[in-house]
Amino acid sequence: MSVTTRRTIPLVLISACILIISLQYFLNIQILTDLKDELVRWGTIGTAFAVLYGITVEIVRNIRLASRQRELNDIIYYTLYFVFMIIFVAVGAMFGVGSTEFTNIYVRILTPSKFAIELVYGLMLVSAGYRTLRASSLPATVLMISAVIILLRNSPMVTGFIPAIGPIADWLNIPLTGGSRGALIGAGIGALMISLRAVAMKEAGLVETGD
Amino acid sequence: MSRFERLGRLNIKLVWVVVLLSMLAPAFIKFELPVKISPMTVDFYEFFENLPEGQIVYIMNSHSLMSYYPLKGAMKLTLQFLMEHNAKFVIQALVAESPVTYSDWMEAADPESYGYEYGVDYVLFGYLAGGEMALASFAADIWKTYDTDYYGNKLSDLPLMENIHSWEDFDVALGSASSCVLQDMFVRQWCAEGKQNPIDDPYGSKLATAYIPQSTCAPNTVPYLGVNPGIHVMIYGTQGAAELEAVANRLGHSTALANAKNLGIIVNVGLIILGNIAYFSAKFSKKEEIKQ
Repeated sequence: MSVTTRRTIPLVLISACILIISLQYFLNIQILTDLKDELVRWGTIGTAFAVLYGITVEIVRNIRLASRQRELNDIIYYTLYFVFMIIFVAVGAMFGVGSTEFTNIYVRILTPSKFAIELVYGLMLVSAGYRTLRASSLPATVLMISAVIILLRNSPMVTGFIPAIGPIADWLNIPLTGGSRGALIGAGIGALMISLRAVAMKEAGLVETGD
Repeated sequence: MSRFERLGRLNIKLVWVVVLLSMLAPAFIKFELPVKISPMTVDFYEFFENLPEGQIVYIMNSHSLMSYYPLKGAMKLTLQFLMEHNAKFVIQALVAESPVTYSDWMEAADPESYGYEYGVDYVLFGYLAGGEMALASFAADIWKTYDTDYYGNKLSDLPLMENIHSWEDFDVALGSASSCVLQDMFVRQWCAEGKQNPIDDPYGSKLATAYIPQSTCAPNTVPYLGVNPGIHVMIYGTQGAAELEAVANRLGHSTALANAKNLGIIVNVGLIILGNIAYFSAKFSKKEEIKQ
C-alpha cells in the first residue's frame, strides 16, 4: 500500500473532520452545522461497524481456542459459549429482539447469572474492606474514614439517625470533583494537542500502528 | 493472642455468611427501617408533581439489567408521575442491554392503565452504538438518526413522532445511566448553554433537566445539580429511589432494597470497625511486649 493511501488520505480526512466540528462550535454557519450533524451520524455508523467487527473477531478467536482444547471441562466451557450465542441469535431472529421470548432469556437466565457474579464481587469487597481498611497510616486513615462516610451516606436509615452524614459525604464530592476535573483537564489538553497535530497532518500515530 | 486480636483473623467464609444473612433478613422478616427524606429527593418529587400538563419528555435510558433493577422503583415512579400529568415520552437506549429493560419497566409502570397508547403517547427507540455521538445525533435530528423504533415501526407511522424532530421539540430531558461518564455526556448534549431553562425557573420555553444516577455515580452527578448548564433535579441513586417512594407514599421495590442495603452497610461498617479494633489491639500488645 502506498504512503498516500495508507497515511496521507486518512490524515487529510481526519484533519477535515476536526476542522469542520471545531469551526461549527465557534461559527453559526448552517452548512457547517449540517456537515457536523452528518459527521456525527457517520460516527454512529462507524461505531456500529466497530461493534460488528469486534463480535466477528471474538467469534473467530473463540473458534480457534475451542479447536485447541483437549480437556473435557474446557471443551464444555467453549461449547456452552457457542450454544448460548446460537440460542440468543436464533430467538432474536425468530421472535424479534423486542419479543417476550428474547427478553425472557435475558431476564431469566442472563440477569440472575450476572447478579450471582456481582454478589461474589460484593462479598470479596466486604472481606477486603474488613482486612485492609485499617488506620495504619495517615493516607490509609483518610481512605478508611472516607469509605465509611460514603457507605453510611448510602444507608437511608443511618442518614435518618445521623443527618450530618449527608452534608459531610456531599462535601467529599468537592475534592472528588476537583481531582477528577484536574485529570479531565489534563486529558483535554492532551487531546487538544493531538487534535492540533492532526489538523496539521502531523499525527501519523492516529492512522498507523507502531509495528 | 488476645480476644481482640482474634477479631482481626475471622474466617472469611464466616464474614460472607454474616453479610449474606443480614441482606437476606428483610426477605424473611417484615420490618420497616426509617427513611430520612433528603431535600434533593423532595425537589425531584416536587419537580414532577408541579410539571405542567402535556409536556414532551426525552428519556435517556443507558442501563444494563444489573444497574436498572436497583433503580427500578424510581424509574417506574417517574414514568407514573409523567403519565399522571399526561406527558408524552420518547425513550432512547444507549447501551445494548437497555431495550431489554423496557418490557419490565413498562409492565411495572403500566401505561395502559393510564390510557396510554404506544406510538401516540410514548415511543421506545432501540440501541444505537456510539455513546455520546448517538446522544448528540438524536438531539440534533431524530428522523435522520433512526429509521424505525424499537419494534421496527417506521417513524412516519408513529403519530407522536410527527412533531418531534430534535431537542427543540422537547420540554423535559431525563437521563438515567449505569455508567459514571454518561452524566457528563448528558449535560454536554442536553443541558448545554442555550438549551436549558434557568435553574430557578425550570418550566420555561426551553428544556428542564432531571437525572437518576446509580448509587456509585451519584457523587459524580451532584456537582451538576443546580448549576446552569447542569441538572435541575436529581435523586441520589438507590437511596434516593427509596426516599422517592417514601415521599410519594408508594412504597415498593426500592424500599425493600433499602432495607437489605441498610443492614448490609451496617454489617460492613461494623466489620471495618472490628478490623481496626483488632489492628490497634495487636499494635498495643506488641508495644507492651517490647516494654517488658
